[in-house]
Amino acid sequence: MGLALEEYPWDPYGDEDSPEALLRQCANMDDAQAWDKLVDRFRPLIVATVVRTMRRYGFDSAGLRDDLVQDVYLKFCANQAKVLREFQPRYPGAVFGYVSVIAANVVHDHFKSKGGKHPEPCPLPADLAVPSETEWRLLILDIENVFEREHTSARDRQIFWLYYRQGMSAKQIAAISSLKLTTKGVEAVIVRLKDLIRKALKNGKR
Amino acid sequence: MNTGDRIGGDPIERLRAGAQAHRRPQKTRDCPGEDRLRLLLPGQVEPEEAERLLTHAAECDWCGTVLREAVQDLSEPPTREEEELAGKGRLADPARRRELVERIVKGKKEWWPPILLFLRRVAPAGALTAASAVVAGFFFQIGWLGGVPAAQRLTCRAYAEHRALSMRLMACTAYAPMHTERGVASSRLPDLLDAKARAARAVEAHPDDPAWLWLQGRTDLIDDNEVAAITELERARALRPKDAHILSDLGMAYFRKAEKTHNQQVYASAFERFSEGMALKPNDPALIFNHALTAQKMFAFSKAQADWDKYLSIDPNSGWAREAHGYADDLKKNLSGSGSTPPPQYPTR
Repeated sequence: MGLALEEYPWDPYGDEDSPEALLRQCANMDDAQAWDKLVDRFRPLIVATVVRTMRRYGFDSAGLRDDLVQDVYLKFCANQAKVLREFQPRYPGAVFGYVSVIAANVVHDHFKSKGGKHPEPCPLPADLAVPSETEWRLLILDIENVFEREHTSARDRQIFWLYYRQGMSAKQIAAISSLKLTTKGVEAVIVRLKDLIRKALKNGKR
Repeated sequence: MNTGDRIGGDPIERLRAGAQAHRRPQKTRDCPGEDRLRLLLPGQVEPEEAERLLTHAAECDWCGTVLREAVQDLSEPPTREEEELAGKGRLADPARRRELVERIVKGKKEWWPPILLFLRRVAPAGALTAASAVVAGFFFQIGWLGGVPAAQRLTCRAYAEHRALSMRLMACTAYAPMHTERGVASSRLPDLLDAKARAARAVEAHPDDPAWLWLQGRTDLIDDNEVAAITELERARALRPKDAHILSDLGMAYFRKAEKTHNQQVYASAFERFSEGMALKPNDPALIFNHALTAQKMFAFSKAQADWDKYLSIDPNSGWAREAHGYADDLKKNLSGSGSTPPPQYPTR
């Protein structure tokens, strides 16, 4: 119970003051008052996203930050507000995630256009006996075989590999709205698959 | 014999240790656009594409890293420090904000598609005007000039100007007394004509767009053509069953049909649509108002009483509230056996 996110009945024209309604109003491009509201309302979120993304490239200057924040709004209105028109409010609060993603994309595009390379992440510290790469890849194949045999769903496999290969936490995985799961839901999948793998590989089934 | 047995130890721990030690974050030709990966976070990717992207990111160290960093950066709300930075930024100054907004809105007015830019340079004014008309017609066709919210506002204005129905239109707050004047047809209202034209063109271009079907149904409802409205709104409902606006307007269309045919079954259909709408938006005043009125017509007096009480607790003072008081008073008279069954007459123009 409470593991899967409930489908939100999409209500595009509800509360006129909702951020979703504001985005739609601004998509018409001629409502200066709505645009002023939009710029003010999303400013803290956009600034936070710009700051965090700039730091990934080792930058933190106020001037560049202000320029990029402004670029985000110009991105909103580019191509007759294509970005705003494409937004689909599939659940409450999605609008904030969407605005953040657009802001982050603007910053990444800026640094890429300047030839700045996204810093490669350092390997995560390993405090365990490390298998050789060949052994590790064979282990991955074995696990995939178990999933195949047990008809594990694509979504559950994705969660398992995001957790064990990409080092994402259950909370981080649950933040991917496309998976439509709560943190508890993600944890339940991980525990179930972990037990499945341990049992299957211990029993030597192939 | 499998790998877990071959190399010994807990396979899960070895998997984790191997993943940490053998990461190869390298972009390949198969990697999707990073922008698309980030759009997984707010659920803005269609399910089939989302599955492809997630399957890839789960196994690709480059894309997995992009996704992990995006979650780290984007899933938490602004911190106090970041809010302070926003408060000191350039756009915290209202004058600078206005400049930006002017640039955006003016930019729209000066926006020319490339073909028109070319024509503006090389073609005579007549050709330019003709080309502009064609392009504007095209944009109008696909709903760029105005869109659904603008058309919706037109319907609200038209309804306020010539309210021929006893019920409330959802998402239209303005109060207007019932219009009983003879000889003034709703269909002659300029706002309604405009909304009708927009909806008709949009539905022609996008026959399966529930938002435009809803608006088309609404314009027919205001125009007192409930039969056409029911057809359009039922189609919109089939495409988007959980939209309270569609359900409310559909309920109104059934109510209007029931009024004309004196058919209790049709009142029941209206009542069901309003009930479904209220399950989605329990505190919407228009839905409660309409639900109450239908219950009263169906002689479900206790339900109607509860609805009017709820309505007046939400909206105690507006013109709609005065009407609600009138209906509720009449209901009380009916309950006490001293009133007349027909609903009272309310202010009209």
